Amino acid sequence: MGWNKVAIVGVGMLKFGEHFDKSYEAMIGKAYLAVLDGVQKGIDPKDIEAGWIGTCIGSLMGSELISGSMLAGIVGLAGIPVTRIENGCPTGSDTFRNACMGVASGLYDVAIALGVEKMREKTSDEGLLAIGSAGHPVLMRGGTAPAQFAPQATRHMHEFGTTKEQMAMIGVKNHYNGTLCPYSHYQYEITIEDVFKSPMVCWPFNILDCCPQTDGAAAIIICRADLADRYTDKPIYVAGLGMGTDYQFAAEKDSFTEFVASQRAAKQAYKMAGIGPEDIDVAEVHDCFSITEILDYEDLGFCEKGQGGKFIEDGSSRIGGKVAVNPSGGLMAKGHPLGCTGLAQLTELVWQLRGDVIPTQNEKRQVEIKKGYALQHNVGGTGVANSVVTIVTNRKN
Amino acid sequence: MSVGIVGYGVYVPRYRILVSDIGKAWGSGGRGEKSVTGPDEDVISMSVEAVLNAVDSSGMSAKKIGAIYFGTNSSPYIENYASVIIREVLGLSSEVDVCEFTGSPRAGVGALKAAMDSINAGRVENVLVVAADCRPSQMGSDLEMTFGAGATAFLVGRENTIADIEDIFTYSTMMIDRWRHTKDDYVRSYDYRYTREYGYVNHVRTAVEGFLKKNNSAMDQFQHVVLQEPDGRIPKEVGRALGIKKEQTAGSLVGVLGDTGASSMFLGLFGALDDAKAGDNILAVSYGSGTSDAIGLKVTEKIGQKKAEVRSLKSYVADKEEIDYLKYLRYTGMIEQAGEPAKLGLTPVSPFLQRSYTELYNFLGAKCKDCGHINFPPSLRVLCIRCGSTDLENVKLSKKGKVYTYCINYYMPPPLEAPLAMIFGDLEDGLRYQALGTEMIPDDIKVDMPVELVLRVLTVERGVSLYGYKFRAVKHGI
Repeated sequence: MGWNKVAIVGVGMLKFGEHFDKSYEAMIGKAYLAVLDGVQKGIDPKDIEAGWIGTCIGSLMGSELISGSMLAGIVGLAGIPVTRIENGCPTGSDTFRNACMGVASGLYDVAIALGVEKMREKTSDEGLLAIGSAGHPVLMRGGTAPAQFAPQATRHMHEFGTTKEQMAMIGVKNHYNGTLCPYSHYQYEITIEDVFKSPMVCWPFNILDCCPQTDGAAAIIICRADLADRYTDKPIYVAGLGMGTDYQFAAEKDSFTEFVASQRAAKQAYKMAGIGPEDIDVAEVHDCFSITEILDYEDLGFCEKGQGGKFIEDGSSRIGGKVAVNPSGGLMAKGHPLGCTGLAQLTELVWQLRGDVIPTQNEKRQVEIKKGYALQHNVGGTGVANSVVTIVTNRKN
Repeated sequence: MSVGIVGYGVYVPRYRILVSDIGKAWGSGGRGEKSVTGPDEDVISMSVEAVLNAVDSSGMSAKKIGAIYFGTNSSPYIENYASVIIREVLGLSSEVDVCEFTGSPRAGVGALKAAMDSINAGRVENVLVVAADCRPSQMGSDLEMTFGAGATAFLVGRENTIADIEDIFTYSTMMIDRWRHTKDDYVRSYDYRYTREYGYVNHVRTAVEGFLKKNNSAMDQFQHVVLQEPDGRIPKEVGRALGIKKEQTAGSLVGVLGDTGASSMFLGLFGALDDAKAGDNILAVSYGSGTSDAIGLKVTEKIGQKKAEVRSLKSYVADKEEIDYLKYLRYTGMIEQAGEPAKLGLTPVSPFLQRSYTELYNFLGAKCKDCGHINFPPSLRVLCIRCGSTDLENVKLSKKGKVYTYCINYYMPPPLEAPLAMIFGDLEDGLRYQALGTEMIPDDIKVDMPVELVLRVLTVERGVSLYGYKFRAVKHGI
């Protein structure tokens, strides 16, 4: 039914958190070892013909001109072609998407996509403001990462009566999910009251409406679908890929109650997979801020426009609900190291679809797979105008 | 036709501090209050507000302005024309002459005299004169008790004058009473009892007497007499000595605004013009740095013909927010928040900004002739973002609109002040514009609230002040 030209045969990631003790290069090395280890039947590194590395470190901390050698040159793969991807918050998922295109084109049989980010190498002040003021020094003055999403919340509240309580429920759900996932940065539960009592960062966001600053690295090995059996008994296929864009500046958007880029990416991915939102068992979506996940429900088609607040309130998005959203803890609890966020989301979805979530046999954490489709989503970048959606499946056809 | 004032405008920042609050901090007393610039204001942003009021009030197209003469002691620069920004905001031709006059609180009169000379020489027809100050004063100094902030602007020309300038008599000696060396951060002053007598009192008296004698005139012929007010006391002393009657004065401004430097006498003059009738005679007298000018004006019958409703001096005086001494010190930059300042990605002198200043300050959009979409800013758009057309034309955009959505940042590194509103406003022309808020109270901000864009200082980096538009709530009834 779906595209299914590419199979995921191995995933691996480091526990998200504050890796003050590890260098950027060490994290790349460890993620690489984790993914080799994650290939069920094993893999000879010589099989890997090409690589893609996703990272925003240049924009984040002035370590400019990072290129493909940062992957190939430090893990014993020097010589193979590697392309570096930087594409806002969907950097990790776009890295995967480009690797898939490389394999699907017939150019390579086996490829690696690796994402890495050291968000905590600088203070959050320097990180957030550097991102927020990107694009234009006058027009973006005083911009911060929360200020890219908070105006959407204000408008959604104004037009649809979405409440701060409903927004807080996103954090409550995702923090709970995070406590079940050993890879999550945050490992504690919160209540709606905790969210309201936490410091106001950028109205209408309290700090617990926001994702943390997290270091992370994750990697995925893919191959031609017909070669998957060499490496695993449980291949996961790429059923659909989508990438949508919007205007450069937030002010150029028509509406602040949706991310059109997400809708465009989702439309492409659903079409390619030949399915609809109702076929998704589990999703890892972009919840950099509480409102983002509410908008995602609507933009990805899980509910009607304006009903995102109700969708969280009635439990539709919890594990065991209509569609389990962010069982890993999401960006909110697991973390959001830009360059690897999408790859870590896919890692979670691969575990879920294979029925071997880590820790294994954790019933609370394992989503019941009925239709066999999982959706990954990121949205962000300047003007929140970039989105990638990936649909993966355990169904061969 | 004689040269006179065609239109005028004033601006006073909305913040005030009680002089007694300053006194309390240093163990003394004090009376009255003074105006204080907000954290994002400087002499240029104040002047732009006064200039826009002046142009509106004149009913004259700004395109007729041939030169801009700016008098101030508060320019951000010793070298570099700060006031060229006024020309950009008005969208005037690059042939319009910009010149700055400084060195004394009577700097604005120097600008006015030069304007009259330029017009009389036939070189230009109309001159925009600006007189504004917000001089810094050292913490704990006597001058901290008086230095306030204000801006005035007026158009000088021959046609449609509301008040003709009859004569100016200037008296100047080498008197050093207040001064600021380039190596000084603040104005210094010498023994007050000496400088009062030999400085202000002597010069103002001599200038007025000289004017009256030269023009064969007498004090009682003037319906309005306005004096420069460096403090509350000496103008009264001179008034008594010169026989100025209470009904000839509109009351003191120094007690409510402080010593507003170059704008002091002009604020008084424009307050008087607000109340003047056709045929009234006005005597305005400046003083600063050993120079006094006595200026005689005659109000014409055009005074009654209102061109546009602009905010009056009275409204600026009345619209105020009291701040405490700590906030005063923060707003005026005397004390700064710890932490690494939020740097611009590109400095104010980078080509990126230099090629964009005109469109940003004059506020131009690139309107698509095919689909009507307004692209902003024009230097970033070769094709219409909506339809891809290359048929774009620059249009001047409205600065008024209403809030579409917003958020409020509660943590900001210096020099930004939290809580800080970020507003997306829908402007009258259809452009949606993102800008910070100014003079806003977080709880008062609402979707659909009417707002207007005002020029403010965004930051100072590499010794260059960077300006940009910010949203301010539109208030009704003032």
